[in-house]
Amino acid sequence: MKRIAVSLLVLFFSGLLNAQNSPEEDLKKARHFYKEKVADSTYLYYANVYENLTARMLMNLDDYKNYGLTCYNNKLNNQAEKIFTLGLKKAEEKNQKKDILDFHIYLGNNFKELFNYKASEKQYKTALKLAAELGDSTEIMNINYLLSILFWNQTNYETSQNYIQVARELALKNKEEDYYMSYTYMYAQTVWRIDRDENVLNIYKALVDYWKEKNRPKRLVYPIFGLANTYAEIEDYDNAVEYSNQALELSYELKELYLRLKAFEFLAHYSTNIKDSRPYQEKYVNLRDSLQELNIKQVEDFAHLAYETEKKEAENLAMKLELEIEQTEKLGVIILSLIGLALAIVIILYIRKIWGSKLKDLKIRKLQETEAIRDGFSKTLHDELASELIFIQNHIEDESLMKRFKALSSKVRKLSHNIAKTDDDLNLDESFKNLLVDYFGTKCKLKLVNFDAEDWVDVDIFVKKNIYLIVVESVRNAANHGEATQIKISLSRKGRKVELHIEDNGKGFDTESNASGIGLKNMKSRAEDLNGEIEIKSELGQGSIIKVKFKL
Amino acid sequence: MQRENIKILVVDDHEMLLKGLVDSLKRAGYENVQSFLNCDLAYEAVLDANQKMDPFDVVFTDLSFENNSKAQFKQGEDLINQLKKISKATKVAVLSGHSETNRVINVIGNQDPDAYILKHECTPEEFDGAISKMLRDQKYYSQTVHQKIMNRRIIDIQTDETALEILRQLSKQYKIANMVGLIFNKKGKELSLRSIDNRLAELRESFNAVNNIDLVMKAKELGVID
Repeated sequence: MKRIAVSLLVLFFSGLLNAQNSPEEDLKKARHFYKEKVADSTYLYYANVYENLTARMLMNLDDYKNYGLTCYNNKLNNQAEKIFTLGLKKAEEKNQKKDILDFHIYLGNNFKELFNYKASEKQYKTALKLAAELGDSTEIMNINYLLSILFWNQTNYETSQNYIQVARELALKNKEEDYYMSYTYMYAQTVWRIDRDENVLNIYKALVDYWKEKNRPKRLVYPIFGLANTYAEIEDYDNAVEYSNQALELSYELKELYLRLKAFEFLAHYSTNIKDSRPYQEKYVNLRDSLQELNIKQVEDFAHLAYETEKKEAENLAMKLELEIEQTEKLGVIILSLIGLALAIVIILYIRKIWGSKLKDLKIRKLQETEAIRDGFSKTLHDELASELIFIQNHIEDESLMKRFKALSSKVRKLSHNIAKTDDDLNLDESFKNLLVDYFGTKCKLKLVNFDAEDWVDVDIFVKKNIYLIVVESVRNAANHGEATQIKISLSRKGRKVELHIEDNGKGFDTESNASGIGLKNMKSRAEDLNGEIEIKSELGQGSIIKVKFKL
Repeated sequence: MQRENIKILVVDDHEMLLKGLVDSLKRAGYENVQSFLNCDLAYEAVLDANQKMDPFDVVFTDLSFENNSKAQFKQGEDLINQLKKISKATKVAVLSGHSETNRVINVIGNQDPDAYILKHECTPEEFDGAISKMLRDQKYYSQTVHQKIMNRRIIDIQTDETALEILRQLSKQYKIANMVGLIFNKKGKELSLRSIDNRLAELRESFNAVNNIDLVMKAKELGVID
C-alpha cells in the first residue's frame, strides 16, 4: 500500500523531474552547433550523448571527429585524447582507411599540445605509413610538414629540415606551388638555425615577392618577419627596423593581434636609439597585457566548461535516486489503469494527507544526495587543486607566468566556492548581499523588495539553497553579460506560495543563444528541483527578468 | 617582543603548503614555529603549552579540512570557537584560501578571529604585519578581505532605506537638527537627534570619511546617492 501510494503521488506531482532531452535530439543539436561553429554548445550536447554509454552508440565517425576537435580547439586535450582514441577504434572496426588516417593525425596534434612529443611522433609516423598505402601524396606532404614542426618544437633542427625537404620535394613533384612556398619558409628557418647561412635572406625575399604577387598578405607576413629577424641577428638594424615596420603594417591590415604584438616586440628590440624604442616598448607592454587578459578569460571559460561536465557526471550519480522514484512510478501506471481515474483521485486525496510528508522526504533525500556530491567535488577542487596551485605559485619567478597562474588559481577557487555547500543555515538576504560583493564590488546597486526574514525561518535549508543558487546564476549572468548597475530581487512568500523575481538592467542576452546556455540550464534544473515554474525574459540591450514560482 | 621569541602554531591539512607557510614564517625571522596537519593535534598542543605555562602567542588555522568524521574539530571554525573559549592570551588567525564574501563575512561575524589572511596573498611581509598588529591587540585583514568587508558595508547601506534617507538629507540640510522629523526607521518610527547622530557616526566609519561633508562626497562618488 505504501509503495502504491508513493508511486501515485510521484506520478502526479513529479512528472517535471524527468523532463530530459532524448539523446537523438542532443546529437542533432550538437551537429547543428558544430556546423554553426558554436563551440560550447557543441561541447555540451556531445558531452551529454558521450557520457551515456547506450546513447554513444548513435555517434558516427564524423561525430567523434567533431566532438574531439571541439575539445582539442578548446584545449581540453585529455578529453580530446579519449574521444579520438575511441573514434580510431571505431574506424578500425569499420576498416575506414581514410578515417583511421585522420584520427592518427588528430591524435598526433593532440599529443603535441600535451608536450608528449614521442607519442605524437608515433601517431604521425603511423599516419604516414597509411598515407603511403593509400597513395595519398597530399596527405604524405602534410604529415611530413607536421613532423617537421614537431621536431622544430624540440629544437632538433636537422631532423626538422629533413622532413620539410621531403615535403618540399613532394610539393614540387605535385606542382603544388603554394604548398612549396609555404614549406620553403619553414625550410629557410631551419637553414638559418643550422648554418646561419645569409643566403636565407634571398630565400625570404623570393617568398615575399611570390606572396605579394599572389596577393596573400597572411602568407606574406611570415617571410617579412623572417627577414627582420635575420637582419637583426646579423646586426643590420636599419633593415631589421624597415621590415619590422612592414610587418606591423600588415598586422594592422590583417587585424591579427598576436602578429602586431610580435612586430612591436621586434621594433622595441631593434630600434637603435632609446627614443625610438620607447613608444614601441609601451605599446608592446600594453598590448601584451590586454592579450593576457583575453587569454586568462579564455582559460577561465575553458575551465568553466570542463567543470560543467564534471558536475554533470557527479549529478549522474544523484540520478540513481531518481531512478528509484521512476521505478515506483512505473508500478503506479499499472495500478492506476486498474482502479480507474475516479477511484484514484479519492485515494490520492486520502493518501496525500498521510503520505505527503513521505514524498517530501524522498525529494529532500535526493536533494541532500546531490548536495553531498557537489560538496565533495568542491572540497576536492578547493583542498587539493587550489592548495597545490598556491604552493606552485609561491615558487614561480617569472612575472607574467605568475599573473596567469594567479588568475587560474583564483578561478579554481571560485569554481569550488560556487558549488560549495553553504552552511547548515542560510540567511538569504545576507547571502544575496555577499554575492553582489563577489561579482560587482560596489559597482551594482541591490534592491531587495518584498522580503521578510521571518517568513524564511522555518523553511527547509535545501529549498533556500536552491533559491540562492538561482539567484547566483542570474547575478552571474548579469555580471558576465556585463554592465548591470542595478539588480532588483523580489522574494515573497504568501503561505505556501513563493515568488522570486530577479531583474537587472545589464546588456541582456539572447535566450536562444548558447553563451548563456549553461547558466540558464542550471537555473531551470534548480527550478525543477523545487517543482516550480521558471520564466526567463531577456533581449540584447534590454536587461533581463527571471521569474520563478513554486509551492513550499 | 623579539621575533624569535614569539611562539607560533600553524594548522593546515595540506602538507606541502604547510611546509611552505612555515618556511615563509622562518624567512620573516620567526623561529619558534610548530605545525600540525589537523585541528585535534593542534588543540592538544595548545592545551599542553597552556599547562606548561608557556602558551602560544599566535595560532594560524585553515578553515576547511579533509573530512574526518571522528575528528573533534571538523572545521577551522570549530577550533577557533574553542580556542577563544579557553584562552585570551593566544591570538587566533584564519589562514585560508576561502575568499568568497559569504564565508569571509560569516567567519568574521561569528568567530571574530584576530586576523583573516588569504593563502594566496601571504608573503613573509604579510605575516610580519599580521603578527605585529595582532600582538598590539588590533585586527588584521588581508587587502582583499578588507576590501570585501568595506564593499559589504556599502551594500548594506545601499539596501537600508533609513541610511539612504539620512545621506540624502545630509546633502540638503545645513544642520543635523533639521533632519529630525524627516528620518524614519523600518517600522515607521521617527529617529531622534541622538540616533541620527549615532547612525552618522557609523556611516562615517563605513565610508572611511573624516567628517559629514566628506561622507556626502564619498557616498556620491560611490553612487550610493545621486
